[in-house]
Amino acid sequence: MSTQPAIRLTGLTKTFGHVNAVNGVNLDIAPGEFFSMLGPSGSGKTTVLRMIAGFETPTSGTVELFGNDVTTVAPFDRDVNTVFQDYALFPHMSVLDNVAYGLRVRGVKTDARLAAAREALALVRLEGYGDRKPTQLSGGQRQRVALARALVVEPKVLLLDEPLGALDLKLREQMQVELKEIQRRLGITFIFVTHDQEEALTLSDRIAVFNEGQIVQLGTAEDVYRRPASSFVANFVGTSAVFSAEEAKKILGHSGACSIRPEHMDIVSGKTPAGTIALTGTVAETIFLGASTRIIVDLAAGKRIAVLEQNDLNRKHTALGSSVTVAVHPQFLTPLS
Amino acid sequence: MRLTLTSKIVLWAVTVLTLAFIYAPILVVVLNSFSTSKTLAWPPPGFTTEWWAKAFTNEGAVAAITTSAIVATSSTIVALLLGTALSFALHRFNFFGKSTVNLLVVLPIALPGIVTGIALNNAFRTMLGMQLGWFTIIVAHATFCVVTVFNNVFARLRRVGTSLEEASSDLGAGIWTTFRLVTFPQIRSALFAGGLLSFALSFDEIIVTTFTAGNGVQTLPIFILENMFRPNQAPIVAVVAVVMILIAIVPIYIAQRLTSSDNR
Repeated sequence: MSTQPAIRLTGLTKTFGHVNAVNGVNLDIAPGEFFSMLGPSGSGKTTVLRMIAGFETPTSGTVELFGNDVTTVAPFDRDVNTVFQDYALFPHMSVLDNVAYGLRVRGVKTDARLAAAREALALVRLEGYGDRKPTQLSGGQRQRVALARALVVEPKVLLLDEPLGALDLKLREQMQVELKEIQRRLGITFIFVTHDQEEALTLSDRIAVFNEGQIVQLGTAEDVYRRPASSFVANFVGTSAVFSAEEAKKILGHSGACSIRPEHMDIVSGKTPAGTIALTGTVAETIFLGASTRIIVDLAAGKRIAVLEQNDLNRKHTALGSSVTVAVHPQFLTPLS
Repeated sequence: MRLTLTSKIVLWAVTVLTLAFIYAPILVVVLNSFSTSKTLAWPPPGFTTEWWAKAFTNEGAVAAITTSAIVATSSTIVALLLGTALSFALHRFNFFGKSTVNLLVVLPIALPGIVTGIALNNAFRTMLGMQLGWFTIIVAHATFCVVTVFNNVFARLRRVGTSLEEASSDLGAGIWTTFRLVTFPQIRSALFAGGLLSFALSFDEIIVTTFTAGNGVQTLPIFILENMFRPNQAPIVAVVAVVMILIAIVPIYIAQRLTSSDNR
């Protein structure tokens, strides 16, 4: 294979009326990458996906697929396929006919296409469900049919638009593992749109964080989590205590705006460990989360922060209203732009 | 829900009375078609199959049924073509004056038939200088038949949405293939229901027809109205009415089967 990117977006912009849904997005996605577009609803991530699929024409900018400009090419002439948020299975066709559809419209003979469809159903562990109608399947099964239907035509790039949004937590976690496995096995590029930061962190090789029609940060899951570039990312991807430049100077004695994750701070009793910044405050609230507890502390310096404490053997009980010292490890302070 | 004995009895009584109110007169027509009385006297003095034999050789009745069938079929075809095209245009595209067009399309069904009748009569004769006849009846019927098709298809398009078509296109199907394999199967039963309703509307329409038929063409309702009070003809009208009932039951049954399989 060449070193050409699977997808290259250049200056991609989409305007609906007076609203800039997508505003000058530049992005290269490598072949075989599991790439996530993460952002709140209305951030433009789905519109970008729809422009890659061909359902929307960009107001300006270009979409390239393996070096070919496909900006104005119709969806049915693009080598990308989509798994839709609402699955969009054809209700009047059996599961097998749904999966075989892409081959049918390409003129593949009946026997060959049904065999390929059965194989694709096996890939998503739905052997024997071919004769059912989509309405006779559960949400998770429909999800898999939609996946099989998109994969059967062997696209170079698979677009997934919040595909797990409608599933319950357990099923979602299970599907995440399966998606990752399938992607690794087939080696095709997955572009995954989600508003769920945990999902994006779990699945992706790289993540683009979207806000207000622009990519505000691009990097590996670890990059984005460890080194959020702005207060928006710091709080959209996980939670953070964000200090403005002024607050940082006053409270932490640190110059420049910065953020820190709740798990990078400790409640300590007695002496604070060497090299940490000690902040005093009172416990305003404790939220038990199972493996950990979130402790909300009102700092004496006048700011409310959250600290995450693991509920391991060493954890001491923190009473509401009690005075505590929070130890901040300065190497985890992330400068914000 | 559990009901007391009294409320059960009341409910049953209301149901039976309502159904009796609807169906007893129809039963009377059926009986009258076998009555020996030429003026539909009640109770029937005796029974005979004479009128049934006569009705099928009565030129006026047979011609009227044929005329109505041709008019209803033609206006339904026109309505299916225009109504479907309109519902796609109004569902898929945004354009200036869209809601006005929507209102104008649906309005004819709400307009009193007498108004439509006078308006079309004037337009056809004085403005366009046309002879009243087959063409004018079919056009007149199509104006309100379009509405039933439009309403059915438009509602279906809204319910189905565009994501299935996007999925089809995404999987490589061109516009016509998508229409044939995905869109049409989705709207088929709506077309059928709309067409059926439109056929029924046209088949028994009398007011607009009176104003647009002229002298040459007699549809079934006009035939019935003209012959109802003539001696010797009244029992034949009863026979025609029974035939209409029988013809009406079949499509209603099919339509019900269709909609119930849709909801499954």
